[in-house]
Parts: sequence; C-alpha cells; structure tokens
Amino acid sequence: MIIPIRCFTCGKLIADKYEEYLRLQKEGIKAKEIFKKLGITRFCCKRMLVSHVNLIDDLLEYNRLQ
Amino acid sequence: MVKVTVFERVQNDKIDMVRFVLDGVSLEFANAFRRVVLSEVPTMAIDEVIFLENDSPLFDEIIAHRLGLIPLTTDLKNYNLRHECSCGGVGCTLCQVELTCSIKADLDGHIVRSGDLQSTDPAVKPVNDDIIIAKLQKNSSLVFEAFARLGEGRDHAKWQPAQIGFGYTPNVSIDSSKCPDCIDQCIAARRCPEEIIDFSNKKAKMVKDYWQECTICEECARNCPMEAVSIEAKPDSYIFTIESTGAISIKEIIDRAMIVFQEKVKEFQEHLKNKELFPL
Ligand SMILES: [Zn+2]
Ligand SMILES: [Zn+2]
Repeated sequence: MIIPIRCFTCGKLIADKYEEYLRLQKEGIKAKEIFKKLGITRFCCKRMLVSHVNLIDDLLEYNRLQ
Repeated sequence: MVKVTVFERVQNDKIDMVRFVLDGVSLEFANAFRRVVLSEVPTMAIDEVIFLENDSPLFDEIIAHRLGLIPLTTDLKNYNLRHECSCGGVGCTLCQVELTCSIKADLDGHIVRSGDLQSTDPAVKPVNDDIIIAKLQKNSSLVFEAFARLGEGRDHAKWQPAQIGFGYTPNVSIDSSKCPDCIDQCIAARRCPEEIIDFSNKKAKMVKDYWQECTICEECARNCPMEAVSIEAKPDSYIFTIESTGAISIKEIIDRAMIVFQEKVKEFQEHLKNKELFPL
C-alpha cells in the first residue's frame, strides 16, 4: 500500500528513507551501497524497502470525491 | 570489573547510534539493561487523533496508526506521564501536546509529510520532516488534530526510545598449521559473509578487529575441510548496539534507564526489609 513508517521487526524508521532509496536506485547505485548511505544495517529493515509495492499510486486513481 | 569500550559512534541529523563492548557483567544483567531501555524509558508519541476531513485512500485508522509510529523529539523534564500528572489523566499542558495538520492538495499525488504537522510546543515535533504520512489526489484534503503523550514501550512499541540489542563477543581462532594443505584457496575465507578471514599469505588469519563484524554464523568452522577454525563466545563480554529513534539522545536513554533500574533495585530492597523471612 504505502511505505510503512517503521520496520515491522525492529522498529527502525524507514518511511523517511523510501524516496531517497528510489532516487538512488534510479541512479543505478548498487543496493549494498544505497543501504550503507541510508544507514540501514539489518536485513529486517532492508526487506521493508526491497519488497515494498507502492499500491497507493494505483488507488489514488479512484477518486473518493466523485 | 565492568568495562565499557565504545568502538563505533555515528551521530548526524538522521542517525544516532553507538556500538560498545560491555565486559564483566552477566548475561542476565546485560539483558536487564536492554529490557529497561526498551520498555521503561518514556518518549512522546501520538496517542489520539481526531479526524475532521480525510479524502485520502487510506482509512482514518491507518493514518492514526501511522501517526502514532512517528517518533517525536521529547523533552523529558517538562512532561509527566499521563497517570502521574496532576490533572489526573484528563490531559493538560503538562502531559500532552497537540499537533494539527490541515492540507488541501493542489496537485495530483500530493504527499503529506511529517513536516506538515504543526505542534503547539516547538520542543515536541517529528524527528524529521520527510516521513511520508499519506498521499492525496488533487482537491482532496486531510485535516486532523492529534494529541501526543508521554508513554512507555511496555504499553506500545511506538514509545520505545531506541532499537537496542546485544550479542556475544566472538573469539575465533584459526590453527594455521593446518593451512598448507589448502594451497589454492581457503574455503572458510570464501564462505565468510563478512569477509573477515585473510588468506593472502597462504595462511588463514582473522583480520584486525574482526570481532566488530563477526556475527558468529559459524560458516567458517562448518566449512573448513581441515577443521582448523574454532569459535568461542568470550565469557561475560557482550557487544551492544543502540540506535536511537531520534526522540531522545542516546546519553539520555542510558541515563534514564540507569535511574529506572536503580529505583527498581531500591524498591526490591525495601520490600525485602519488610519481610520477617529476610532480615537485612
Ligand atoms: Zn528492521
Ligand atoms: Zn496532565
């Protein structure tokens, strides 16, 4: 849906890093270096970003106001 | 004798973390410290949200839950826990802070961030302004009032001040007299995920300060064909990693945890004194 605020397992804040993650990924930087830059060390937090599907962009198309 | 050796300290606008070795304490003591930090050091977090308008695709409950998880910078001196406050838990300026948000999107895909929250107390605000709360389509609006309160991690994980964990200090020894049989490559060195075994001189040895990275996965010991690697945990020595959420500094977390811990020991002592069974 939308990127979770924190890692499900350890509770580290990740919602502020998602856009930066996508930006660095677009630049073609390797995942290992991106995580180092973002200060993410545990694999629980890494999977939060790697496995996330941002479905909210699709849902936004269905306007609730109409 | 207790000894603390800090070997890693990162402190910038987004990360506040420390790694240290705690020597000379029992496993139980180390765990007690960890659990006090997790469950009894209070921080601020949003606890109640009143929605006035919500046109986003997310339900009120989802947004309320997301708001609760946002770490807020906390001023421990000026706020009371709700049940200890002079107002009796009704909610006053000594125990709660109001944060408001009023957004009307003028573009499609507008992202509501933590920076859009307006706090009544400048000392209590989200740890950074980039946390994504919700997404809105053009002309949709999100209006709510939220109340942040002091709480403890034992009631909800959103009040935990830090991610804290500890592990054994590894002590890996390699019997390099067995190495000459493996001339081309060292399977143990190749298998190590942290790449902390050095085989450059045809003799396997651990790199300097390998214990900081070693996770005791035992990949080396299990795969060495000569069975030259042996792994032990150093007795009474633990590596702690504390990573603050940003709500309160690591120094404050440790100070507060120690105060709570000492109070508990004192309370225990008082209880023992009152019992005839245990004359102290
Ligand atoms: Zn995690
Ligand atoms: Zn009060």
